[in-house]
Amino acid sequence: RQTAFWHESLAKCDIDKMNKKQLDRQEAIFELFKSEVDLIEDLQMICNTYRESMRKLNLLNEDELTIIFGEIDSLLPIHRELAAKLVEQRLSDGRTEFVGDILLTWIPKLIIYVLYCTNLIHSKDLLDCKTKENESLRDFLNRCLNSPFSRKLDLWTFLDIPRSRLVKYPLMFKTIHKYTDTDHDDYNLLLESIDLVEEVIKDVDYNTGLARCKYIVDKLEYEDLKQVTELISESSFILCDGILKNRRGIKLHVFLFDKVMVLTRPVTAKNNVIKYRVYRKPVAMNKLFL
Amino acid sequence: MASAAATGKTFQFKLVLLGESAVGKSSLVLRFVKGQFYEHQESTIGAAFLTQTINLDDMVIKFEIWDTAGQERFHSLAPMYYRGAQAAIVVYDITNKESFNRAKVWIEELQKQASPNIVIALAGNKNDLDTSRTTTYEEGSAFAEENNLLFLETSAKTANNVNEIFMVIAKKLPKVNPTTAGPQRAQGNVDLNPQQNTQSSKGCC
Repeated sequence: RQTAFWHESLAKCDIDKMNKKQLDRQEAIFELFKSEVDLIEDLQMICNTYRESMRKLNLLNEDELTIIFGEIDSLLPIHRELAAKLVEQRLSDGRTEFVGDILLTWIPKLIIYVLYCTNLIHSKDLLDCKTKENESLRDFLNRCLNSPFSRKLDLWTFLDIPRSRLVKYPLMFKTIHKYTDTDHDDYNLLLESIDLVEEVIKDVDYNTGLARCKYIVDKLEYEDLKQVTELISESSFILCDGILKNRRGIKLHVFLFDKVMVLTRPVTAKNNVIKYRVYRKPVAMNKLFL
Repeated sequence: MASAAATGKTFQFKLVLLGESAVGKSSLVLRFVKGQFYEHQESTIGAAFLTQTINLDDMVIKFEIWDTAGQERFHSLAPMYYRGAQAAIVVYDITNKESFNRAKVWIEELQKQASPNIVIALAGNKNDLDTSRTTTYEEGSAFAEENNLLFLETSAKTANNVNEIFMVIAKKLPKVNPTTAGPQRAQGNVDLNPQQNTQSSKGCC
């Protein structure tokens, strides 16, 4: 994809009338708009090209499609709305003067990302599992990968784009704000917008953390009742995880929850699903020295 | 998934850029991809990723560059799978000591979480601001050597060493599986780097 700049769409004489800061402000607003349009294109492609084809070819059933594509349909109208509003704000000479108000009323809608982002871990899991076991699906995805429309990116990459997009809003708003004069109406409105969007992202982040924790907890398998502890079910977050070797050289996948550390051995269960078999007794956090 | 694409000797690699905010991650990418530096134009932060192709000997190396700007503060919204990345550039600002310390933490995390063969480069950015330097070249270089990292000081502003850092990464990347070495290779399997740590009674962070 080519990067487009705002000034490329204008006549030279109009640009010359603007100072550097004004020009930068227009570029920053245009970038928000342009990247919103790119995102809409990607979202449409995910729905129309990937999901619809997979449905028609019966590569996956409806339940599986729902898990893999999550709330993607709910994202589209929200981003279309912002793109349309940004176009409406544009003056006849191509400049955009005010964006603060429309951002402030628009940002709360991003809360739908809680649903989208908390589902991503399940989406990735099912997509990997189905790709492994379903040859026709694998073939289809490979064809997509080698077609120009995918820009050589896999489906997971597209499904993950909204997440990485969400966290970029504060950066884009901050850039616009930086080029906004202090006496401009947008100056304070943009400050509020930055705070507001960060609040929304914090909320999404918190819930995504909870979802990941629950996902791992559901994958734990116990060999002995003594291993079961309410500290696991009471935990909300995974602070850190990774593979450690014990003294005998056995690789253990260790999860450090907020209340307990659990040593596990990864095992592949039926349907290529990975489970974590709890190894020895979980260690309560208050017994750990960190 | 490993189908032989008919594009010959083209190698595609996913590269992630990590580092504290404002160290110049996006500027480095922009400089590399566009050959430009906009002092006041932080365009492309909205793009999900950028691609750039370079020629190395008789091979074409295509970098798919993931700029993680904006994700630093949100732990659970960090990329779930930079495990799929074959290369990483960890950036710090030579005029900001804290960003160097943070870079060390990123590297530790990559060594723990990313795939074992990942090629990691450490970039001390903004070396045009030599007079306000707080991290010496030697400090950066010594840390890189200890941890087996590629190391260069760069300046997105003057373009110093920007192409070079991508070039040294390209040289070091294993050239296997033409064109299939894309993100598709990143599986849900946990391919964490085995640690030497045998203490099971201590936390790992």
